[in-house]
Amino acid sequence: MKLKRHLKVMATLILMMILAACNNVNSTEGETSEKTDLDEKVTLVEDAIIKAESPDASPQLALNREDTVIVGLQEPGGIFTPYFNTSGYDGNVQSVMFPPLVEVNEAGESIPGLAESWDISEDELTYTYHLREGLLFDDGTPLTAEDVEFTLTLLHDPSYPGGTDITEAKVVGGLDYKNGEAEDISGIQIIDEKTIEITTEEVNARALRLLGGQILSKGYYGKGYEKGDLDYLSDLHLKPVGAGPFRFVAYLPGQEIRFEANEHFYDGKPEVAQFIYKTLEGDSQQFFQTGELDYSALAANQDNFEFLQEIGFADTNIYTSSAYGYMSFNHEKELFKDPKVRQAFILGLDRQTIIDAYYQGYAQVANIPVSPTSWAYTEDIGSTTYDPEQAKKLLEEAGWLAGSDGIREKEGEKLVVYYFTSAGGLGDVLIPIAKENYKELGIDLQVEQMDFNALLARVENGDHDLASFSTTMLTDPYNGVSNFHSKSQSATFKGYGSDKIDGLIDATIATNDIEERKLAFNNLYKALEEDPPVILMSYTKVLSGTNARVEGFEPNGYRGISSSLKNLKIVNPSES
Amino acid sequence: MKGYIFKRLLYLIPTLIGASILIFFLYSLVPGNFVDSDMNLTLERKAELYALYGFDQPVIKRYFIWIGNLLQGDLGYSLQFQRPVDEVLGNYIWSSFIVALASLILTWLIAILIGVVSAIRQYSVFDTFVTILVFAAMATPSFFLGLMIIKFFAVDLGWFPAGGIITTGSNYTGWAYYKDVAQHLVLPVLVLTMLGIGGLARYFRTNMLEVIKQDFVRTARAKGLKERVVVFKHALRNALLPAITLFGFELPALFSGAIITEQIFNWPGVGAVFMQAFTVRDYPLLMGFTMFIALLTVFSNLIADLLYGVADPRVRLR
Repeated sequence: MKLKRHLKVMATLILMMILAACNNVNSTEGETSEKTDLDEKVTLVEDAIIKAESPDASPQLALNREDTVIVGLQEPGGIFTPYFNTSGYDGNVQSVMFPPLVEVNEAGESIPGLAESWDISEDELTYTYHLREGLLFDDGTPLTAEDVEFTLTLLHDPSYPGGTDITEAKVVGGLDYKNGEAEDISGIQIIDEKTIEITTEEVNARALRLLGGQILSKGYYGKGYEKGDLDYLSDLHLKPVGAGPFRFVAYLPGQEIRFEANEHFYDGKPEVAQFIYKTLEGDSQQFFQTGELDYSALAANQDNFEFLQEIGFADTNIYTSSAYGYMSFNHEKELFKDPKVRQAFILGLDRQTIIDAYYQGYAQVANIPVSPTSWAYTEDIGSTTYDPEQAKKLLEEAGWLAGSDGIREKEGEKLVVYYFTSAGGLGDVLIPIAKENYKELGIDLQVEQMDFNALLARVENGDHDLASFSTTMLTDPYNGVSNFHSKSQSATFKGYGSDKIDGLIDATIATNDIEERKLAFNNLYKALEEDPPVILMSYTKVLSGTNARVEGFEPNGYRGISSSLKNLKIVNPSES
Repeated sequence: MKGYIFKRLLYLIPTLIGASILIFFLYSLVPGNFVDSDMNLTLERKAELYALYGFDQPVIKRYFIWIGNLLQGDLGYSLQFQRPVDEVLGNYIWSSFIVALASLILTWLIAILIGVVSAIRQYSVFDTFVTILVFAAMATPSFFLGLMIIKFFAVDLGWFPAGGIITTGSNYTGWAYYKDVAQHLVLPVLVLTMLGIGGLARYFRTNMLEVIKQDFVRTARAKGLKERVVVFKHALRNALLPAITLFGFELPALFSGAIITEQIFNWPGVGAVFMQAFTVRDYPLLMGFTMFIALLTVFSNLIADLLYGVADPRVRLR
């Protein structure tokens, strides 16, 4: 799950880089207009749904498609078995066919999916999922607790090659199966056909969703399964059998993935007979405009918003992503051992100006490591202010004193900082402003731009001082802070962490009670403000347009459009 | 002649070994790899995946494993698609080939025509006008040209589809299918042709200018042949000779895909896949494809050399 989202963000970055490259022609013009933008006050755009002004303007091409809805998607890798894909776009394809036991709503809360309800025991170690009545896979075979058991067993298989780490949930007997001789996992108990009970060793608020994920059919994917050998599954990657609103029909590489309405779906057969993901390599605007796409997510900015307004037939939706952008410190460098220095780097960077200039109101400065869409968000902690005077004071206190050439020094060493970022995107605006800001503080900021993969490799090497990143979609606020744990294996945060922070992070998943968790997160966010692991940058908006002839798309920051696909409906635009 | 071909074939072996060394070690120098690009993996999981994909072996050993598989015709296994590389390439390469072939034929025909006419009417209005036009087209970046053409012909006029290879969701068969593909083919072929024509037209113009000033052309005219026969039979044939070498270079280009144009027209070609493979560091796919192109280049050079001998008796080896 994490993997998919991560790659999705990464691919978006790449897409943005490509788009940015395409925009280079206008860059001289762009610079001047950006300058003027800086002087104006940019106001934050609110999340909104704006109905199309002239639905009749919908292109004939789209109107001719009476029972089919088409959505654009970047080319997937062709691995349509959940948990086995490496590309995030495969994840999008899977989510059409494979609803999870436990869904996420627009506030990041758990809601029923294939499971109609679940119980968590008093000691919060045992999870009992109750499946809906009469669930069927799209080939007509029943979906039962046995399939859930099979899926979880598969994820524990020693030869499982995918990116889902099920051992995090610490199912009793899970490791015995993965690393030992055990023939099954003792912590998984089938109570009856539609009830399954899973016992874990440790309280973990994330286990509910980790264990309640997408379900693979035992009769289909489990045919010929023997512990330790999953190679046979690769033949099934292009022939998925799920239990979602749509059933897989065909994959035409580089062109489209076709689905048809699934009459076995628990919520009833969708009204739309055919759903298609059309694969796109670059820009999607022109396809949306000519009516080839019914739904398109665009880079969130004023220009694209105006584009959607101008063409008239687009229902526009602006929502906030659950991810956040940040700039990480290299905590292994002596310089950043002192929290005061890190605080100075945060206070001394004019984040508001950078974000406003680049996103034109379609992003806000982040104050805590969780997005405002989440239940864990609060405005009361963290600050977004720009205070160069305070930053200078902190640097003085940390022993970095003004040098002869305006660059601060400590014990004969100059305050030179290397900042790595991917080419294009936010960096284009951030670099000149950050250089200026830090120069004022007496910091010499050196910048290197590179492609995303090279950036990761060099950060892993520890060559950087600062590096820009964005998180993936965060279905649980814990995912936004887990890397700050000293036991976290993430290369980006090597050297950060203390027992105090570790304890506070652990506390956020040590209970399933949402109010208690809120409190735990508040405590953690306060501590992180004192000892900042990163420079928090932004919460961005997502902008999407729907052809007014289609109703039912309800994208959200956690699941994108996938949870609303079942409600799609084609309406005659002149009547709506 | 047979001995010559045999010798040339022998020379191919060290060339290809050299190419394989360059390809492998250059790619191994690129920072980042497929596993590292996932920030969320734990170190343990990473180590497991490294072992699974063989990244933990020393570079030299990996080279020999790779080259050994290559010799057995095994291009490797794409990490991103989790399918054999040749299967992935097979999925995309033919759609690249159609566009490339169509634009190749058009480019050459038009370029020859322009080259000849502007050579025999040197400095005429036509010559100047066409020169400006082809240079303008050649100097425009492909993405810009592509976007302008999409904006004009697809979005504003709506004459042609904006991209893709078939109408999404269509189930055409037989002639309807070919017609659909042909419609989608028009714009990308137009862009590639516009980009390619300039250089070639200038090339033919120069060759033609050189040839029509030669004695045998004057002789042909003197013996009373029609101007058309002189130009197209005597002069053009000679002017085309050096182009055989050029044509040899076009062979690999037929299969290598046009990265930017494919991207803009959303054409399911191999160029776009190659680019995507690079961003996720799918090395087996990258190396396999580069090696394939290297092989094609080497062979097409050989073919060009041999053809040259066939066409021009002066360089024929006995």
